[in-house]
Amino acid sequence: MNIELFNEFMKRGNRPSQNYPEFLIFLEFCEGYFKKKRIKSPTIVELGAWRNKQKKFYEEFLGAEHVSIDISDRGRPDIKGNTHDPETLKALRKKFGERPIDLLFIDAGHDYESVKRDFEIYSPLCRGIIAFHDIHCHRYDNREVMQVWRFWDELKLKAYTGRRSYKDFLFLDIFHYRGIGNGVQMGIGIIIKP
Amino acid sequence: MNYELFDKLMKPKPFQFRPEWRTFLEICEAYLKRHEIKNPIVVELGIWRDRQRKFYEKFFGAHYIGIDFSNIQGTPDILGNTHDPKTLDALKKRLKGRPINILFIDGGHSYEDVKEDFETYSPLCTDIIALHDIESYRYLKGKRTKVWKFWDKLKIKVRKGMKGYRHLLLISIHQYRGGNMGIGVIIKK
Repeated sequence: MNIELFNEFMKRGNRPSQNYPEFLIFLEFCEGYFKKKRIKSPTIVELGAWRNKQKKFYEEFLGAEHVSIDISDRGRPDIKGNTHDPETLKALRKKFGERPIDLLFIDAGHDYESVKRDFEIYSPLCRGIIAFHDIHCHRYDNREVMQVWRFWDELKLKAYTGRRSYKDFLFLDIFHYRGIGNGVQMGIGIIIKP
Repeated sequence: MNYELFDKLMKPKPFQFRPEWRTFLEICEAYLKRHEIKNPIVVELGIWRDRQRKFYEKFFGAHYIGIDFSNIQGTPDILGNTHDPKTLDALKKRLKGRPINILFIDGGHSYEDVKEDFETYSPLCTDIIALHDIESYRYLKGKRTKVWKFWDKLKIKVRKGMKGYRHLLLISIHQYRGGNMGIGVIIKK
């Protein structure tokens, strides 16, 4: 990975809402994975694009075809809509046709039900990497609007108890301290489908 | 990573679960490349049958030092208990002032053992520290294997931003099908 370019992209003003070392390791891992699978132009779908500043990383470092979905148009997403709306899914299918998603990045609604639904709707379309952002955000202060960690822990427990279609997942949990307080922590959880 | 070589080296198999082990080596490879570290020094505490050595040597051109209190199953470079000060002295003698680049902790698996290994050897390491079996027996009460407990406590220290811990990057790698081993990776830089 071209670290100088990565640093350039991470400069203030351009910076995505990502923790530097977490995002770097995540991209390095994806790069290695696609190389291993010989996927040259992976299809990447990002649910919840915020200001859409991750796009350039995926396009530049992974040569990806990136589709961002967001409820707001502040970052000019490729598809504007609620991720739970069937019309949004329809629009995504129109873009990709029958092609599977190689990397799905879930970063939309952060309450438990939203993450669960996003996972249930979109993960069957993904054949490679499924990532969750903010798996450590508000882990210890139990805010209902921020419970990605709860869904993540449940997934791991399902796998641990040998639940079918979960037990073969490889789990990676990337975490770096970001500052004082629960809310500022992020963390990226990665599931690799076999 | 050369996957053909990886497959070849997996026979005879080390005491590692294949996808976890491969992912760990991939993370190390990317890190060493990014930091332009050639011929890293790798120290492994608890080598069992000494089958990890070849991976470090072939993939990274590593200078490998294996430590174990038994030489029945494998041939450690340093024979001794990891908690014995003489073992630490023997390691320091071999290191000749150079830092450890990768420290793999896989000695005693009780909470106290892992804690002591970490406290004794991690100051000598500048780059990657790995703990094996961070998921073993996580949900079974009464077992002595408690690497998971040490790993979880470490995570809380990082989360709280405690001095000496706040700059650590933690990665856990785990596939449950593998008999619940799991590798915890700590990146210092």
